[in-house]
Amino acid sequence: MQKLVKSSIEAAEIAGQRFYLNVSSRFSGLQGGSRFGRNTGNSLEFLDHREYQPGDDVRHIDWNAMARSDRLTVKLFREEISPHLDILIDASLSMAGETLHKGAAAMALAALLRGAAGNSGYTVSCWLLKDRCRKVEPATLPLTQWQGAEFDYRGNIGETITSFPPRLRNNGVRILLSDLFWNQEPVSVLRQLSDSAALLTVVQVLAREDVAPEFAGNVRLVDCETAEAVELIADESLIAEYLRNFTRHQEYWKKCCSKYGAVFTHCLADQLLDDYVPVELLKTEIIMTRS
Amino acid sequence: MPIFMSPLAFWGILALAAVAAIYLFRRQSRNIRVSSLMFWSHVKAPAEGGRKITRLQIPLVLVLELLILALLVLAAATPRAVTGDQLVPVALILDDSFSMSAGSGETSRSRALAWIEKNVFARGFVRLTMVRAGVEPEIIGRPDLQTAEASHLIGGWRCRSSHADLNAALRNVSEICSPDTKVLVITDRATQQVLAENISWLAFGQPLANIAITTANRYALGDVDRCFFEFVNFATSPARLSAEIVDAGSGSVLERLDLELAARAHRRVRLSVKDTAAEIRAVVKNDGIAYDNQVWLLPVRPELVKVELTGLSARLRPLIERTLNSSGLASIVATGSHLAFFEGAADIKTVAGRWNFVVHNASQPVTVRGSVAVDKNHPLLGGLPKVMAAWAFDRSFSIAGQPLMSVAGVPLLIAAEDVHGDRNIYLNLTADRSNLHTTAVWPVFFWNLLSWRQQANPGPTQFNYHSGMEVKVNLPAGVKTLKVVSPSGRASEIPVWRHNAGFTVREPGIYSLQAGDLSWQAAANLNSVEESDLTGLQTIQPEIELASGDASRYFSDVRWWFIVPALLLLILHQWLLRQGRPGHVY
Repeated sequence: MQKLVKSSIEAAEIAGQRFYLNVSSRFSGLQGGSRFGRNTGNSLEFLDHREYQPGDDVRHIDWNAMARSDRLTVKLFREEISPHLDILIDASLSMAGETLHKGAAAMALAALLRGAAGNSGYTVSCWLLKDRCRKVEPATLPLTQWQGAEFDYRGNIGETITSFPPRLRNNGVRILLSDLFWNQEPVSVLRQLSDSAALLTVVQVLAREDVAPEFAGNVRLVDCETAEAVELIADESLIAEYLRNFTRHQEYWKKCCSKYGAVFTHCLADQLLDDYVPVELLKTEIIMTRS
Repeated sequence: MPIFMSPLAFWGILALAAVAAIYLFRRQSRNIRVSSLMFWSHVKAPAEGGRKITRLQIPLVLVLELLILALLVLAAATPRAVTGDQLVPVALILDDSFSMSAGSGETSRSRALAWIEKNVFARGFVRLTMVRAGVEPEIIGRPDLQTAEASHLIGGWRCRSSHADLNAALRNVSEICSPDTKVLVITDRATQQVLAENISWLAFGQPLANIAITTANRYALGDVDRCFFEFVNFATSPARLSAEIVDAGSGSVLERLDLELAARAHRRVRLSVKDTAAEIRAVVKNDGIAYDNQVWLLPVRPELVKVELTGLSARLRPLIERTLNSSGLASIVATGSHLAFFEGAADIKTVAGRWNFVVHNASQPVTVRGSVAVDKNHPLLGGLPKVMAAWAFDRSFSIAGQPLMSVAGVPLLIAAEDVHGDRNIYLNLTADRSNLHTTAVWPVFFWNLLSWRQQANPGPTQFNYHSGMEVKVNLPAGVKTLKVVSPSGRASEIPVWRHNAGFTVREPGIYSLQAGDLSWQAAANLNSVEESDLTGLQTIQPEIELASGDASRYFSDVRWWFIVPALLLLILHQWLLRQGRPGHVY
């Protein structure tokens, strides 16, 4: 593992202690767990009384209260939940990019999210997406010791997700860390990932050169995954054209995420590696700062 | 078109290459790894037909910089140009002899033309005087031609002269051109002459092997004509000679030659031709250089002089008649004569075209024996032996005319010419008291008389010529022009002056002459060892700069032609740079 990635992980793990994952309200109470959710549920922890409404479980009718007030009252108990977070990391070569910033940022973000999830009592599974979706075992293994965590896959991650979908836990929170630089219809990917998910968050990890290319004149652009090259004279109009294409792509992902109830956000790798504060994730309140 | 006085400055062109290289290096595509090409893919749109076309993009600034540098390099090379109307005078002396056209395919002339085209006509700053150096120098077109005109007119240089008098051409050029004229002598041989500074001698010859007929002669000998031919192998190695001598009229072969000729050896052929009216032709059949492979020999016998003797007395007539008959040049006729003899000036009857010879018989002559003054330059008296005879004459004889012989101030022979050009010749001789007719003077005198009269007959004075010789034609009164058709078919009209017309034969072959109802032929043969011996041809092509030396004063410094545009381009360059924005590609 490259030195930059390792140092980024170590720094992010420390930074992750300052945050917690804030997605409890999205879990349903159909299953037990070690944590109380924000909804009512079947735990033994009493929460409140309210008037009976058709459909309420008759077992929860408070017969003592009915005797005292002659009104049908039901007892409400707190929901018992077992939160789980699946972090899916795009390990394609494009994440390494020219500077490896994106890869380092993705790993740092994973470390940070794992720390934040731990702070919220989540169990966490990490997945490295290459030609298959491989789960990192054991789940508690430090990121710096992951095997095969190099960003070297030259294929299409979208195809991997749709063709060989990971076995994600139901009702879990799922966070995809990727630059999304693959030619795959977002709908099929999002349908696969959002199925039975409590929450799907897509974090587009971007390098500065992806957002604002800073070159001009005669350049030979080489695709770092396919090694395909194109020679062109980069000028203002060409850069503008690129940005239009890029924004169109990003907007389409946002639109698709919205359709599937997923949260779309992005993370600038260089910015994250500066202070390890995932500003965009904080804005979406996926994670929160611990008080 | 400017010339450059400091051509070393052209090394500065390397700076252009350096700048271009720097640009290319700078503009060489940098390899940039990107996460994906999916957002750049629009630049790869295939062109119609399925081919990918990448437009060549040359930055405007680079073009400007290269232009500026090129202009500065040109300025540094010290350009000079003829800016006024005064062009640099150049004279071309073109060797017009046959040897310039010798060779199969490439000839000295073609090589010279290519050189002239490249080194003279391509220079727009010269005015040309072209002199064709043949037997006599001749200006092609007019003096001071523009190069375009000269290029058009040089086709008139055909190399058809039997001899090139280059010295005469040089003299001619020195007379008609200014002293600072650059003179280029275009020939095929080297020269041993010490040349003036402004004269450049250029030779474009290459040694060639050649078999030629160098001599062809025909003369009358009694009843037959004798012909003489000489065949020479002008080569450094032996060669086969295959030749024929034929009677052109009947086509019969008089002699056939098929033999080996050693290097530079000759073969002479003499033969007698009984048919004195036949045209004889000799042809070399196995040689590539054609102009000296054929000769023509026309009949050489002129028309006999018709002599009328009816005016003579029975005493004098037999004496003169016997003399005339023995000459072989005369025929005695009763009327229609060329020459009539009389005794006494009073008997003369003037007839147009007839000469009269009067023997003045004195009744009381004086006889002398001694020194007689003779004008030996006159055709009548050429070759006359010393007069050692007793000559009886009339002391008081006097008549208008040119005295050709005289004694003690008394004319013995007088020649006079009338207004029509006919001549009267008076001989002051009393024959029966003299013994002149018994001396050698008598037949020589009459042979001269007949020969002179014969030469005055209409027609060419001779029929076989060497190329370059002048054909003189006697013409009867009333003829204004002589029409001449050359062997190549070119017709020309020669004006007649005093019953004579003359022209120079330049090309070998048979010339046709016509004057009124009269017509003749004249043969011209090359017969020139100098034009046939091509083993000594050489190539000398020194470097010649027409703008150097005295000619440089015709040029003025035109560096500003290049510096001013360079400055303007520099301003444009700076303006473009100031307009430039980051990321903008020029």
